[in-house]
Amino acid sequence: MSVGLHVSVDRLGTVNKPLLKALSWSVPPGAVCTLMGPSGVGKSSLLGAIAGTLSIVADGLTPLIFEGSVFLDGERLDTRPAHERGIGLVTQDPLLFPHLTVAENLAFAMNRHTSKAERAQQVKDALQAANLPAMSQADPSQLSGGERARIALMRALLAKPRALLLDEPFSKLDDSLRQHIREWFFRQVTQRGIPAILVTHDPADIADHSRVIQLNHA
Amino acid sequence: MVWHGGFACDHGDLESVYQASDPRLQAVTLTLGRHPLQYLLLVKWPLLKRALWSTWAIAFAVSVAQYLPTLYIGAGRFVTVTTEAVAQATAGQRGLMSAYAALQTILPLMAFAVAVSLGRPRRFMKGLP
Repeated sequence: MSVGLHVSVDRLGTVNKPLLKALSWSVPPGAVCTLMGPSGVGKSSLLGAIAGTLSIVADGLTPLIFEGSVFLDGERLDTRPAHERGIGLVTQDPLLFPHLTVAENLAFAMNRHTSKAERAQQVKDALQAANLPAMSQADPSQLSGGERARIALMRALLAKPRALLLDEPFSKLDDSLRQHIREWFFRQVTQRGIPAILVTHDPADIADHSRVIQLNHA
Repeated sequence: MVWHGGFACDHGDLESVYQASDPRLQAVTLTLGRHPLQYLLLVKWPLLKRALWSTWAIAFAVSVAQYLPTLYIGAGRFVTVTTEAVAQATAGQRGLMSAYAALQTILPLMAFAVAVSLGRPRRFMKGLP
């Protein structure tokens, strides 16, 4: 059984216009694979196809069709709904639920069978790891871009994903914060031993020893 | 009171708000391992609460203020605050008429107070730290 994430794209695009064709690669556990390419090439759509959210994010636009397969630790996932895949997604805009506090956002990702005491402890640990221990009851709108990015990643990690997809998570951070958060992101992925795919336009975002895949228009 | 609110509540007021909700929140919810139904119950609907209650309060206020639609649609069979206020006005009972006029102000005010109170989405999330 092959471990890690294996993605095979036969075709990704609309009925008439393919965005990506004949693409296949694997990401071992704890490694970060970087996807780069021009705008509109289909990078975010590819992440949507892997996560199973392609039809949701493309809402209102021409529907995109994914033909291919996604395997995680030997298990085929592309036939399963998004919530059963165990693939976490961190988007360009750190989308925190605006009606929940920071602690509630983090707790939202946890299994509903987790006891209240354990949930509180995990939230506390996550806030500590994100270096935001005093922000528990803060409203997401009170956080800076970097703080939101860290909470969004911690929330994705608290769901205990088996793989992580990062869609330009550093793009809205200022330079001083960017390097710090980038290293923190990669350290979390390595420590947890999960495969991750990072979409970025900036070569500086590429992790050390990361495999880089350059996407071009089909 | 419920009659007034339900009578005039227009789903058209809510449709645009419902359709405008950010689909990326759904994608994030699902990738956190939550079922689509939980997205509706814990994210989408709580975020719509304010719009829902505001629409209800406006519909209630409009309903209370409308005499002819109440009369025509109810065909005179339903007694409402509005029909009673008009009836008292024509009967010349000033005291009672004033009371109904005050009621016509107070009831919509109460509806808006309810909307402000219940429209806070945070109330859905009891049980989380």
